[in-house]
Amino acid sequence: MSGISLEVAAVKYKRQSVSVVMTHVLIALLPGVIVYALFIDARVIKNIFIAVIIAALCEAAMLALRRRPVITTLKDGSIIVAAALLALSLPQSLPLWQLIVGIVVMCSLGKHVFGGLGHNPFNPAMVAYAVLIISFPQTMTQWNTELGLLDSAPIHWDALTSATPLERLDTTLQNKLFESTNTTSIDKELAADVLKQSNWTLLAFMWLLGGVYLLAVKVINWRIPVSVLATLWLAYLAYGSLSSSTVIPATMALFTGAILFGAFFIATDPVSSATSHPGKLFYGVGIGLLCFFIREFSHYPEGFAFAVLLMNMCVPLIDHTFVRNSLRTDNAKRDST
Amino acid sequence: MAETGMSWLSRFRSSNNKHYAPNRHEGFPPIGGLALTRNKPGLPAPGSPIKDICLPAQLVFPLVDYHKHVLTPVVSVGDCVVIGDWLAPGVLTSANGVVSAIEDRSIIHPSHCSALCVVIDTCPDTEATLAAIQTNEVFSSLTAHERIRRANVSGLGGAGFSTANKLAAIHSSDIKLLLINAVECEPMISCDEALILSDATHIIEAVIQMINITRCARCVLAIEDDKIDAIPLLQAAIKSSRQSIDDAAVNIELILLSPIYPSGAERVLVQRIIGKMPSAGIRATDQGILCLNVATTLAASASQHGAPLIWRVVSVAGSAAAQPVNVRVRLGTPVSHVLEQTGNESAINNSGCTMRIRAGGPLSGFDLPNLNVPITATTNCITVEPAIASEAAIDSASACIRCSRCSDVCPVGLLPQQLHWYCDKTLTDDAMRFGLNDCIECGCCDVVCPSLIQLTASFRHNKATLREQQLSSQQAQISKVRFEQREQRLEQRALQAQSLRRQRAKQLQAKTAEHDPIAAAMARARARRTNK
Amino acid sequence: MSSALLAIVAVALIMALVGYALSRLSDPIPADDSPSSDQTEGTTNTEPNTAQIIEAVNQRLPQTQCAQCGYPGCRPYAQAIVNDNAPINQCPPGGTELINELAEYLAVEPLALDPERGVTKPEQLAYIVEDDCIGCVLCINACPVDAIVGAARQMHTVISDQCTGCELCLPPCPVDCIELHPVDQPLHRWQWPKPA
Repeated sequence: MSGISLEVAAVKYKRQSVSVVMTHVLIALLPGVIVYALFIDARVIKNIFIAVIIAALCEAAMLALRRRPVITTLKDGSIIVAAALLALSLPQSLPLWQLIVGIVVMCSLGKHVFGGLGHNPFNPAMVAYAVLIISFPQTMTQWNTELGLLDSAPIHWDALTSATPLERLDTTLQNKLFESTNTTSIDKELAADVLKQSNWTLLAFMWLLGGVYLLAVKVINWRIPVSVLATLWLAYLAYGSLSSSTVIPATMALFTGAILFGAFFIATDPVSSATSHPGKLFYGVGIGLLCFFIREFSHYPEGFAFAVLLMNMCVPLIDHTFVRNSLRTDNAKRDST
Repeated sequence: MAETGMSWLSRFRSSNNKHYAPNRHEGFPPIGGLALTRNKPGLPAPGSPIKDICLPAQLVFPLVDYHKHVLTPVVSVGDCVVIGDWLAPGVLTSANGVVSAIEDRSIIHPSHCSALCVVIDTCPDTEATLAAIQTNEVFSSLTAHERIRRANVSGLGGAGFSTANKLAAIHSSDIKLLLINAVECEPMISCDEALILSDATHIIEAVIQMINITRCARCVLAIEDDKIDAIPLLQAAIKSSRQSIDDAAVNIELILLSPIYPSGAERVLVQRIIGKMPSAGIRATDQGILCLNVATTLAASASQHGAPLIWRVVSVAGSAAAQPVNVRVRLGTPVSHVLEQTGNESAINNSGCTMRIRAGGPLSGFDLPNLNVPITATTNCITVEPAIASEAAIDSASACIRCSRCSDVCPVGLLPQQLHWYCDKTLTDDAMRFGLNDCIECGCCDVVCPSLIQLTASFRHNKATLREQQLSSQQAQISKVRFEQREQRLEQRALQAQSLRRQRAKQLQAKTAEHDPIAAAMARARARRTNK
Repeated sequence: MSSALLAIVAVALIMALVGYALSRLSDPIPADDSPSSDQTEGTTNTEPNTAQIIEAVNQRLPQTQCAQCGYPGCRPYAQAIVNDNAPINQCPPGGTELINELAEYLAVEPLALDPERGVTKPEQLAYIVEDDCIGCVLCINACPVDAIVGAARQMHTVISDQCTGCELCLPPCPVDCIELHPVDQPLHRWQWPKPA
């Protein structure tokens, strides 16, 4: 080095280090977590707490095994965010050991197998989610229904098997349709009613709030969430007008399930998402479409995790395709000469 | 993070409306870049002159050219030189004096290396020097371009390319646009702005003179719109020049740009004025655009009256500078002398411990370990910053999280995260494919990187490695050819020798066949025997 | 229990199969310009063009012509590699980098540099101590790249731009007046150091 300073910019121009970015994400999660704890399930706090601690331990173990600096790497906070996101994605009634399995999978298979932060092709939290939902389908779809939310609902629910409100709605609509096959009267109002009464809608608004905060502090780019939401909205709109009327209204669809949470917090993970601007739009549209198809045409009530994982796979291709135009033309010129 | 906001907004505009015509006074939006807070300390009051730094006892002139090749001096120790004399091809003395040494001295360069320098013990200026040049018979017969070369005018913006060479690279009939660059977006650097504030009228006169010399079709004077004191001065000067000169062809378009760093860089400025970035490897002059810095324009104009380029304006600034100021400095003046004369003695004493002195601005500059290095034409700024533990920055660098902020701010439209990946893995071919050589090393990506990766440093290193590789492969090619030629020569020589030997042997044989007595005797004996 | 056993066996089997397949597939795939890919081209001569391969190998050699490989120059070594299967680890100036490059090009296993041939040295230049030179012309004849000028009983000197630092001029010199100097980095070839 011979004492030559390589640093380009004076330090005061540096800002938004990875840890600051992660802190912003945690702040953005806060209103959602509070609403979740207060109105839906207080166990979420405990689960997040446990998840973060286990994830930090697991991460430290992985780093030590890989002979990487433990403390400095832990300090960037990325593992805390990933653990919190995973804990929020899982049902709060999940047995502790399954949560731990999820965390270990997230750290090892999701992240360190590929070389740690910045090298993982898949969103680690979603890898863990996918492993859990495939391995433990029963516990994974048992969303808590205790807090009296359902007492006020106009229909009787099968409290044990109801998943997210989306699945509840799904079953309700199907039951309703089944019960009244001869009537064409439609339960859009009913659906609206259910959702209005559900605190899940409030929660979805909190995720939206957090997302807007992230946009405001420039931690995330608008392209991915906007394209995800717009695609889903258009897909539901088109589907609603084309097919049976049991489809929930397009706008309402965005406030169900994990859509807003996923669009702002999961899909925007910079490591596993596309980098170029058109690429980000393409990536978002892909997630939106896949999510719609999985929701509407598969067994899974919520397809966000799979949509994200499938699009993660396409990211290298997307990045390769949407290289900045200036580079492309230059290279074409260079190749031709 | 205002800069990312700006850049995506502007890109949205330019990409969605291809026929978006710029407001003639605004220019095109930049591709990337940073909107940095304006920080220009030490500007003179409008209309007041820039302070001159007194002539130091010794001036030092590095004998290196634009490509940092060492030049051969044309003077020797003990020679008397006057202002405007050549010390080496491409190096002029900026003061009268005696050559006291020609030796290795440390120069203003990021390498901290030393190079061959001419040291001059100065003596006071005399009025006669300039007059002598002007009345010189030879001078009056020189063309405008030759006068610029004679005055050794070079770019005072940053790169320091010879203005005469720049003019030579473009035929005057091909000049479509004369672009006068008054844009300096980097914080701390304010030498061009100081020049405009002190002497806007002369600048506009100089621009008009350059228009006449180049006979360009269009002339644009580009400046950022936040130089609120300088703009009215320029506008007034343009207006009064229109009134005083009847020539209708003289029309200087003043274009005000949003202050996005690094709009002052030539490629970026061209993009902001004509709306299109020159392709890789294409210079502005290839496109018929002659881009000159304001200070360079002034120097080129002065060269027409015989004045050689002997001084430049230097900003002394920085958060630890006692007195930020812009001063006129003779080229060759040691940095320590400038700091001393501007009241920054504490910076000299504390250099390397509590303060660090940088040449250039906070983004484009580099640290100076030694303050005896001489000011050159490219030294636009000396910044005095409090020393920081640079280990802190190195320690905290973490893995790239592919946030793509760097590609959002890259002013030349590269993908720094991709380049970094290739550079890290020394995949130079791929890095080349992604435009490594187009990087202008502005440092924008370093500023926004959340993982604190030293992107620019890594690109600089890899560009240098690449150049070195090309150089050594050229060298290998030369050796290969020489070896093969030698082999061929040796082979040919061997063949020649062989054929010569054969020839001689044959001749000998023929000779002996004729006169060999033994053979003859044997033949006779054989003949006798057969006869028996 | 038996089902668990079945699962373990099945997974182990699949893993073994997939692992084997991957390990087979990970064999270095020859680069586009490598000789083995010429065979797949639909050209008339199925034999790869030997002259071209020699040229390509020679192109990769450092051209110091130092003969440390045991052949009288870079081209002869290239010919030996291609024609006589000479090992690719005989070139100290090229070092490990060259060995890897050649291994990739020729699709053979990279070897460690043969220590008998010498070690990789930093760039150097020959320098004739002119006071001691007796003008014997022996070094001029030894120089593989004609980088020494001089004449009989006249002082000789090295053209430093052409010198490859091959050391071949050292043994013939009867008065040992040739020294090897490390190349000092000129300013125009200065490189920014690699960031940490």
